[in-house]
Amino acid sequence: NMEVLDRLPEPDCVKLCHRLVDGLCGREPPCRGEYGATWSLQEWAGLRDSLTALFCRAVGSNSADEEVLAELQKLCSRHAHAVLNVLRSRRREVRLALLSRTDCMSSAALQDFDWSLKLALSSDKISSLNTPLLSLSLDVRENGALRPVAVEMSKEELSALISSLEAANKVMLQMK
Amino acid sequence: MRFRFCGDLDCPDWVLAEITTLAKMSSVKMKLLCGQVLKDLLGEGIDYEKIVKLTADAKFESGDIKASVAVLSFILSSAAKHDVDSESLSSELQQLGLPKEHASGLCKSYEDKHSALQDKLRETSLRLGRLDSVSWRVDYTLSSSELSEVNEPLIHLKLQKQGAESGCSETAAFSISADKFRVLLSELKQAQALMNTLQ
Amino acid sequence: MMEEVDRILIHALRQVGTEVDEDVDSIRQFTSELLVEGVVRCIRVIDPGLGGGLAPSLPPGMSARFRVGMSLAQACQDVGYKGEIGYQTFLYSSEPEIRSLLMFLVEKLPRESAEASAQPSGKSAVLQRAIAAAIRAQLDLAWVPPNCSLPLHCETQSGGVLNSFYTQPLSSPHCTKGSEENLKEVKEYRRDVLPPVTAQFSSSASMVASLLEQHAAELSAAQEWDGEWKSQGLLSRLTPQEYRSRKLARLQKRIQEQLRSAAQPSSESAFGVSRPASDLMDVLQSFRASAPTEHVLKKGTHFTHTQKFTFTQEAAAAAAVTPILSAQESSGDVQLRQQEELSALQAQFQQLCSDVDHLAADMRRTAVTHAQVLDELKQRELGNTEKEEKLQVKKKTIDLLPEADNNVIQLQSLVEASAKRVVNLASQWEKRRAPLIDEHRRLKEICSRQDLDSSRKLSEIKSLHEKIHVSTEEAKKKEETYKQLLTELESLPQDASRSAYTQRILEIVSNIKKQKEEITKILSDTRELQKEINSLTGKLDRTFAVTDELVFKDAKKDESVRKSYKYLAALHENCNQLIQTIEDTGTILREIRDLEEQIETENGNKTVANLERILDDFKAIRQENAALAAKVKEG
Repeated sequence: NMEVLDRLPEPDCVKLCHRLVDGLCGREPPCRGEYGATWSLQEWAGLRDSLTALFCRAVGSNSADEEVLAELQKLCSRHAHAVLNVLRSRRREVRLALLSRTDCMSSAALQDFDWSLKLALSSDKISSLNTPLLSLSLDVRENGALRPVAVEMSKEELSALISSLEAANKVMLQMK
Repeated sequence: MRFRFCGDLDCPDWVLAEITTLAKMSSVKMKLLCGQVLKDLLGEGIDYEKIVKLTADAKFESGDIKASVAVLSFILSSAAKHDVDSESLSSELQQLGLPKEHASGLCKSYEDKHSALQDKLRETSLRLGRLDSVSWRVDYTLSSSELSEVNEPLIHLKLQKQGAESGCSETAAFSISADKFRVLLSELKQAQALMNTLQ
Repeated sequence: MMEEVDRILIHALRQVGTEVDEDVDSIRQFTSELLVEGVVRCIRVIDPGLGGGLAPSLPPGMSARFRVGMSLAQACQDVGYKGEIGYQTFLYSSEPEIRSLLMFLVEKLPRESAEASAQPSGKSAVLQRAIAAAIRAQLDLAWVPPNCSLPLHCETQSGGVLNSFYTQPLSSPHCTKGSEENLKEVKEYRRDVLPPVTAQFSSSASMVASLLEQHAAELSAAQEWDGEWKSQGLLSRLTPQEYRSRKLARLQKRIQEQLRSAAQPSSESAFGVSRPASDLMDVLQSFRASAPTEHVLKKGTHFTHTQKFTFTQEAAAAAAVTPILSAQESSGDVQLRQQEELSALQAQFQQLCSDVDHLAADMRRTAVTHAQVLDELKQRELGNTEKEEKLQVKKKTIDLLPEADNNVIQLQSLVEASAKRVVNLASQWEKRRAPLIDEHRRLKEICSRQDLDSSRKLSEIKSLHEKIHVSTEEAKKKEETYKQLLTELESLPQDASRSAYTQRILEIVSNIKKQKEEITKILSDTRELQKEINSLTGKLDRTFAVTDELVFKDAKKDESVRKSYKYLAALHENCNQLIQTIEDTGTILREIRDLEEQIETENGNKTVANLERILDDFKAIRQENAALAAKVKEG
């Protein structure tokens, strides 16, 4: 059902493909409203899905240009080359997106983290505490939902964490 | 009147009242009682039978016993909280009507345990989410449904931290991509460097 | 003396922030403007709340000046000044009044600098002070509801604008490296389509976060690579690309070996022989082949296969069932039958599946034996050709046998000729060999020299790297200490002439001592004089008493003596009166001096002139008011 792409003039087709890739990379995808006049809902959905799948497949299995063109043979050659050009220009970005999808495949993955260093001056137990504390907040994506994890570490705990992460990093360094 | 051991505030009335109760004991017995209270404050447990024996001479009722233990733990913990040296504590207690021998006995035991008491207080200060242990694993992803050739390492981390209530622990296990992990590590190192400049 | 006081006062005013000209060195030279500014600044430091509303400059209009003067006087009284003060103090200042006012204000200035210098310096102390100052500043601000907060409150009281750190992938032209860089399509995309980074996000907060994260990732990657390259890469004497590819190859080899060793036992048990996997991808492919739908590296077992198949069949069966259901013919009988059929089919299917699996395994086994047989065949063929060659040699010797002698001679000559040729060749080889060996040696030497050179350079580079590292660290440390010292310097009090002040104070003290000594001298003189006077009076009294007695005795007898007695009494009386008068004169003189002094001070206050001025001001204000009233009327 990709042949409906021919209805769009070539520059618009390039733009649409780029925006589909944007959506794949976690930015704003194109919305149907802009193309409502060109395609019916079904056509739109089919086209969107098949194009996205094409990009994913082409990058995922590292297929050559000829193979991609073969898949696009139903389109007129100008459009097919436009799609191919988009793919060629965005190969790296799509690969990164697929890589991050691969990394997030486990049940919980770290999405973001943030830290702040605090100096605790005083507490109800003792009037001059003067202890530096590091709050590390982690946003873990677990089964699709973000779960915040907050840890507050003293100096010793932080150095323990860092030394154990260092050990992991050493192993990781050998794998690059 | 303002007292340093009360944090430059007036002494609470009940403390004032119970100091006279303390004065009824002999100074030696009171010092022993002090030792028991200090043990309690340091988390080593308190021996109530011993306390009953100690206070038997002064013919204390159970209310008096409770009051004296309470007032001693208030004085000792509050003095340690505001980092009062033993001499000023002694003079302030004498101002409040504690006999000299009692005050000096109390302050002697206070002086001995001063730093231990402060360490204990510092340790029990409010903390959110203490980190208990860290475990990690490095995987090397060869291939996936999304990408036929991945060839990237992936780190799994498990953080064990103390939960809201003491004793229970929460675990957070998750995977981190190599890039994110590197950023995390370098950020943490920066934080550590900053922390080191604080002390 | 007063000059010293003035200098101290002017110094204090400068510290508070008043711009006192360099050539002003006494209170006498103060203009009204300067005075007002100094007083306002002092009050601001003493009590920021009170001083905030005071303007440090004098407005031109008389009534406005009057108001400023009055408010200043009020503020001074609020601060606690007890002396006489009014608006005229500021506008028509007399020296002693100003001096006493300024002395009071300077005394009142908080001694922060003195405290600061007494505190222990150092980084933590500086930090503590900064924290204390910040907390104090925050406490001074009043809380306001968030939606009417001023920019002033933003730092401390905002709660709504905090964003959590949320990153998104972003695309920027600089961050790609490698062969893709030069692709025409990539360039075109960047030129024509790629939106700027600011337009790639829906919220600006996540843009900042993403940029920061991207930067951190790239920076840490670069640092890590740098470290690795310096520690290992340089020593390998490869270009970075070569180093990377070699490392990757090593890693792949390692993984491949591990995978193979892990896979071997199980595959051996299944197929009886190990698969010769020549490449990592082959290994992977082999796993894929056995478990087509599984992405994890795990061998597909019988069970998973059957499970999958049954599942799909069930789905198919369900699909077949639905139309019947929609035709509203849902009788339990049919269902039961169908279920039975289904289970029968399933059993059959499972049977078939396992058969297929068995057959597949058989096929694999036969394939393997086939390969083995082929191998054997090849080996046999090889053996065959070898034997054939041997056979041919033997055939030739048999052919030569009939004419043995002739052939032997021929062979001998042939052997000799070849021996000669060998000798010849050897000599030729020797000739050639010598220069070649020399060349070889030379080259070897050059090679080793270069080796040495390069290793020397390598070590040099390493040491340079280390040096760079050490010096950057040092520079950083020094910069930090510099900063710390700078902050300390700023927090230090700025009067460098401390010693000069103490010296002056000491001088003043010694002066005072001298004066005190003089005063005590004068006092003792006076006391001595008093003593003398007392003794003289005593003597006089005694002499008078004796004379009186003698004369009185004789007076009874002689008339003339009586007369003289009378004279004596009169003389005594008159003398007494005289002394009294002298004493009175003394006290009056003292009073006169006091009064004169008072007059002088009053003259100094210029009360009359001030009163006149105040009257003038009054008139001016009235005129202004009248003018204003007229304006109002006109308007």
